[in-house]
Amino acid sequence: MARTKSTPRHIAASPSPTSSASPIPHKSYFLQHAITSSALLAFPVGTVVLSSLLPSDPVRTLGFFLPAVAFVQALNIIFTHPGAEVVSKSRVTKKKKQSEGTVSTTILGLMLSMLLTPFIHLVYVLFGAPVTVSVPATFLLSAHTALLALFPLLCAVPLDGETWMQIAALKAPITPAYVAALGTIAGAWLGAVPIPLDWDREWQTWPVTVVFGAYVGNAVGRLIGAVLSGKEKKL
Amino acid sequence: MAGSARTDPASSVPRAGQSQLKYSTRISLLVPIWFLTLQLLALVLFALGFLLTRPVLPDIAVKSVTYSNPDVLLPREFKRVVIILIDALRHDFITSSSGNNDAYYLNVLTTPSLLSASEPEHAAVFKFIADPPTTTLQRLKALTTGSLPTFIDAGSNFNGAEVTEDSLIQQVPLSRGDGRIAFAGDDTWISLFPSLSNGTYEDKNLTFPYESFNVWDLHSVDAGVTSHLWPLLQRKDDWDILIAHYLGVDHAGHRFGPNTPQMNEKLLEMDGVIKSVVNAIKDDDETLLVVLGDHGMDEKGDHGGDSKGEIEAGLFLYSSRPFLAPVDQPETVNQIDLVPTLSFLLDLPVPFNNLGSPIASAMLGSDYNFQKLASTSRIVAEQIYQYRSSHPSFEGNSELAELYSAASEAWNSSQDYESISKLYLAYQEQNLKSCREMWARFDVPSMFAGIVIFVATLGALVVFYFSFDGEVDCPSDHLNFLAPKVGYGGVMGLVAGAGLGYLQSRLQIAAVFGCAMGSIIGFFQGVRKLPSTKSPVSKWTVLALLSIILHGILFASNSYVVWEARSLSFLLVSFGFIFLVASFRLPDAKSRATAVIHAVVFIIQSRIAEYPRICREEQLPFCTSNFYASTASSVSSLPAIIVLFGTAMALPAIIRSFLRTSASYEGSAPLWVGFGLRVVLVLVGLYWTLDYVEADPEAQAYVEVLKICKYVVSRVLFGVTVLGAPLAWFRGLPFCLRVEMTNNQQKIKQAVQNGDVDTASKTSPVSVEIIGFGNTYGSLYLLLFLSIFAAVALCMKPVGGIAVAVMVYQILTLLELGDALELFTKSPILTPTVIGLMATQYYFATGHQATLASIQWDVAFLFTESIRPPLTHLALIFNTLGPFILAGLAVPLTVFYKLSPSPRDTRASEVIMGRVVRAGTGATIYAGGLILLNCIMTFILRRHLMVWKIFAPRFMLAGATVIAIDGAIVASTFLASKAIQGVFEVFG
Repeated sequence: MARTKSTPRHIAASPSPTSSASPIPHKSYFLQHAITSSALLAFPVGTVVLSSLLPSDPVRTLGFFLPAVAFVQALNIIFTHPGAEVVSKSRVTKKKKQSEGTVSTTILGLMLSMLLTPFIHLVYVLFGAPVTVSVPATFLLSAHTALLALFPLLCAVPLDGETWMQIAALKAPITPAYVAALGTIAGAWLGAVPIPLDWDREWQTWPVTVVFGAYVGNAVGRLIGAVLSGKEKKL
Repeated sequence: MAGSARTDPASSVPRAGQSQLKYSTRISLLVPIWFLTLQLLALVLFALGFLLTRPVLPDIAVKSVTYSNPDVLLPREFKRVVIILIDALRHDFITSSSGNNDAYYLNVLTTPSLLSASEPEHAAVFKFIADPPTTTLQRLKALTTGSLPTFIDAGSNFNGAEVTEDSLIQQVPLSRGDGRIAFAGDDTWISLFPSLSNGTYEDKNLTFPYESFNVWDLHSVDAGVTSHLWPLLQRKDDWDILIAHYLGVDHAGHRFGPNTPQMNEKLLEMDGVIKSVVNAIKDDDETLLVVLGDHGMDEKGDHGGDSKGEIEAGLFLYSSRPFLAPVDQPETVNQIDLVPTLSFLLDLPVPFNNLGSPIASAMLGSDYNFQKLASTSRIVAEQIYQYRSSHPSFEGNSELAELYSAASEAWNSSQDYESISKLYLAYQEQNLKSCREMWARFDVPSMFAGIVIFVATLGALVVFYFSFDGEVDCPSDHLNFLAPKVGYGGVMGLVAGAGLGYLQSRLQIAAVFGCAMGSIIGFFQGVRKLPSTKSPVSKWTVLALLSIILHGILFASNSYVVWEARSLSFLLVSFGFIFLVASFRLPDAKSRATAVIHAVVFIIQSRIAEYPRICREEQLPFCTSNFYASTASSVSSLPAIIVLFGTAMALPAIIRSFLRTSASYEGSAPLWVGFGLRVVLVLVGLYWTLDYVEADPEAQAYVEVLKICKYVVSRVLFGVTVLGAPLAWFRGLPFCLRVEMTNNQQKIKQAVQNGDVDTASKTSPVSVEIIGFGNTYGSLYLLLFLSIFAAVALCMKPVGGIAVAVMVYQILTLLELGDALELFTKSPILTPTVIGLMATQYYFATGHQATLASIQWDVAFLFTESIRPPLTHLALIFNTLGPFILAGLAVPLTVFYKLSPSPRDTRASEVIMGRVVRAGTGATIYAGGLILLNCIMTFILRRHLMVWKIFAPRFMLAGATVIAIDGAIVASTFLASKAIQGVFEVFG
């Protein structure tokens, strides 16, 4: 299995990240991420193929697929994760519980990312999402974004201020989860571009293009991250 | 202590340094002036090619031989016609509506529809299609000449322009003798036909013009017109055409909107007028009554564009003599069709330039005689043929020639008048179509020349920006060398261009092109010889250039032009998030926290700036206007005025908090900001309150008093903010500094006692601390900026005033961010670019759109009751271009903010001037990049379906933007040079 017990690959806070670079078997991870990416991309692509379910009622489709996306993401995290630690408030109790630790980390990460959904909703509103109408659509979009961008990151990265400051400053070292998050943001940003066009297509309704952008960006970012990870490059 | 420094008491000012500084700051002004000139020239060339013109022929029509042809049967003529022109009479105002829609304007003006239903041979209502632009001046031209306007005409609504073509008004004296026209109403008629106001007409007491532009006034024009209408109707032997031009409906639309009680009242009054005129001519079968609207209005009551509501006016014909062929369906006719119709009904020659076709039901007559229609159609077709053959630009249209000969052949060979009239009508319609196409023919070389100059200017701007290192260089070092080269190149280019242009008979364009390009070539020649300074290009600079391209690329699609405000908000919010990321990179925790907060505030401001909006037609139904009290009005809402008062209280406090970060809320700042700005803004609120009360129907009794109070407030405010405060600023520069003296005797004694000789000897007995020193330049310049801001806020509607106040807040937030992230030194172009983007965003937030109809003409009467240059023009310019002016004036702040003087250093002051010029160049690059991309897109899309509706108005806005920003940069560079000299005088 891919869940190797090699050196934990965590971020920034660790004093000597260079030493942990080489022993990670990239190939298997790449395959994992490729599978996950295609599994996740199956959602937007599938909805198009299947009589364009998504555009006709974005809210229902987004809600319907939300658990599935969470499941695929969780699987990916559990199978690719080398057992990161969740650092609680007191660093003294930092423990590495390998097998069940990963599962609990995943559950915690899922819950945290769901809790952060309103915050993402706010960011979408700041970017111009409607305030009073289409609230369910925007909220579900935010939930999907949280699952795509935040969930893996929350599981892969220790929950301390400095690490997240690095992430906010876009200075964190490259990992699949991190680049996938960046890709999701970039994809969602680009996804907003075709909305104003007067083509009167169904897929132009909010938030269809942004969902697509986020998924495609996530897949691209994840693959790039899987290729480049461990090379200790910074963006 | 932050933002303070210790200096010795002021020393003597070195005279030589001062005059040297004066010279170098003066000569630096040449840079923005040169760029302004270049862009102005390019703009003129492009606009000349793009905004179309048509040939205006001086010929006057006479009756042709056809009139005496035995086959020709003309409708019986009327002796006289009464034309009641109700400005902005929309079609649905005079039709009956059965739905349960209880809008204020429906089923009010009922006389026309009732009459046409009960007496179809005597009366008829038509849908009267106006050609855009739907502005009164253009419509009156069309209604009298029967010709099409071209876009360039739209600009002359303010000054009027005499009609030099043949027209109904000119035909009357030729056929009926001098002084047969009576007129009362809108004085636009007088500017179109100056002959109406002098000589015979005045002697016979026939013309009564009224000031047309005061949209605040709903009643005085109408009351005046009505008071003259009755006596004139009695004197019916003195005139053949009586024109009564009412303005109340139009003004009610502009001021309050169509769906308002005021409109209802106005339409009731008009119904009364029509009813009485109908009664007055009831027994007179020699008089024709024509009631018409020159254009309609959109749902807010404005007009100028080409939306359905604007182009669909109403037309009503009535006579006590049966003269109409009854038709079941209400007929749709072109506005210009009225010209030949009236010509026949009055037995006048059809005007030479006419392109309209006679209205069929009026030509057929109550006896349904197609011979009459065919005869009039033939005469009009002949007239059009005559017109076409008298100008070379019409040559070579074989399709039209065939249509004409086919119709003539049918006329000569057959008696089937119905099909003959159809053939002639086909010719007339085809002619109209071909004219519409032809007068949309652009002068491509001229447009191209404009684009080339824009490209070259942008190249010069970028080269100029990158060839000087603002940290050590001052442009004035090189201007002695460059300026003559530029001037020499300009003169050489002018001569060469004029020479070549003369040979090609394009003298003006070639001369302008040569002059501009020559000076740019001269500049490049000079720059090559300068020592090159290669500084690495910052990522921020790349970002700034990218954002200019992103903004400019919006012009490639009509959708993005329509949704530009939202796209810009998206762009600015993205900028905010980039600032946020950069803030997280700051190493120092405290400054990081400050920067993060400012970045978040910047994001929120960018989003809020998108909120106040006035929707353009294309945005419906996805947009709801909220700039005024309701979507169907142009009255400000009471909550907006209350918030305006809140802004008056809050903004000075916000500015104080920003100044306090550098301890600059000292010296003049409390007086200027805490007191002055607050009082001025409260008075701005008072002005709009008075205006609000005045609009209330219940306050009619006090209107005069309110008016006087209003004008007193607005004029005093304008005087103080535009003249008083800036003059005071110039005379005695209001530094925001406080000098604090500390006696150090105690300290020295203590040091001596402690045996600390070093401290004792280094401490001077008295130390002078200047509080606010760290922001000496910024705080000084900010005071002047705020004064102009207050003037702009006054000229904005209440919501617009709030919006520009937010703009000032956002500029300050951006400056604070720029200071924390060191943007001013890393990339002097970035902050000016963001300020430029903000300016466009706030243009939309102040209730404007890239359409002619969104110009808030009513602010022309902010200071005066009638048009008074320059106050009227200044109010309109401040209202329309205020955000751009403020942006240009804010640019030196990106250099001055938190900048402390270097005492006794002329060079340092010169370098600061260099940085100001460089920042100004940055803003000019934004404006220049934008207009260049706009011109390129407009050029490519000049055959686009939406060109007149969307791209042409956006081009005009981009042109106004570049001139406003460049002009403001010239002004701000000058003001900055004053500030630099002033600081040098004190600290030099």
